[in-house]
Amino acid sequence: MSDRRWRARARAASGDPQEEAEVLAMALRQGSLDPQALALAAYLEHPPALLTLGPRAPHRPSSLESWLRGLGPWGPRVWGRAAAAALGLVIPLWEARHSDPRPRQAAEALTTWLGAPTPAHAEAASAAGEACYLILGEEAPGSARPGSRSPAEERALAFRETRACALGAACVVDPPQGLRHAVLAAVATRERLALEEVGPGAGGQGLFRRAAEVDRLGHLPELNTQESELRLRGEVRARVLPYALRALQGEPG
Amino acid sequence: MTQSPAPPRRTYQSSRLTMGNFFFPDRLVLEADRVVFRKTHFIGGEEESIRYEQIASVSVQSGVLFADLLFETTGGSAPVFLNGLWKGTAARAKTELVARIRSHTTDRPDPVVQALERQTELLESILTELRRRA
Repeated sequence: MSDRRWRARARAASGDPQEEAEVLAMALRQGSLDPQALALAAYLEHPPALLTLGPRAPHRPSSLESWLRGLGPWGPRVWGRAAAAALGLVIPLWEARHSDPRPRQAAEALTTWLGAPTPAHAEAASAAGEACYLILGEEAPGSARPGSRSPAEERALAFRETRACALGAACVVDPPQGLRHAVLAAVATRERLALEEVGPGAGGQGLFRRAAEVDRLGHLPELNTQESELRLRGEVRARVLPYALRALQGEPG
Repeated sequence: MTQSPAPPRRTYQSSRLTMGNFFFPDRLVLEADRVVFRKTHFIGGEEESIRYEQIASVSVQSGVLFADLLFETTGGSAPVFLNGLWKGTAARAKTELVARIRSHTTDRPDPVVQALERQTELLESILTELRRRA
């Protein structure tokens, strides 16, 4: 089957995973499929890719950090998309309370670099990320809108939002640091999402207080909640899988 | 320019006298650039590999005869436990691990980690100020 024919057949597939897997398996045997892209699709739990590879599908770690680190072999354009997915969750939360544009600018710089990964765009993304570190130290970050949050609670939220944006935009550097930054951006995002789950009352206040008292690298293990992890993992998958599927069909990313 | 030779591969193993280690003791392997944990079961097993640069802290929790080695990664993932080491083995493993981590991190400072630490300090100082005002 020629490249053109298998792509036409893939497009015409009914959406049945088994049928799609048969098309993929045939294309793989004939060498008209990028095996790396197929492995990435399987890593992202794409059912036809999993059926095609069977026991040869890559191991998918259960913890979010290990799973994100596992994206490393596919390169910065993949883990950069994972970071962009994390930023896509954090920025609406930031913008609901602040008008400071720097987090969005960092996310946009990352998106620009993903579209055209040139050194100039990498430099711009790093600079935009760096600017996000400064926000926390300013007396009045942006113009915080009035709300029910105490100043300490607001800092605990802003700390994670700005950190996620700073690290996410910094993931454009070479491996292994770039991958590490993407993972840390995701960790900050997960903690920020977990704080959305905190209810009112003394227990919630206590958790917010602890959320502000973090370790050297700013983590609080109590904020590793299942819901925040699932949400983030789903968002990363939704962002990276289309890239893998385009690569699978030999289309430019 | 000559490069210093890579440190030798070294393996530390849990005592078979401790819980869950009789048939398949857990192993900690120090490779040149990473540490590998191996937990074997009757069927299958688990292996986790962590680069020295990704280790944030190493600690030993000692009992009367045995000790657990615990370390956390900079990625914030769940801490890794190696249980049931003899106390002396745990101390030696920790010393060697810390030395290897240092040799992998001191020559190459990570500017982002430094920025994270500065940002964390900033948060602490802001909160101290907020508490003082309250």
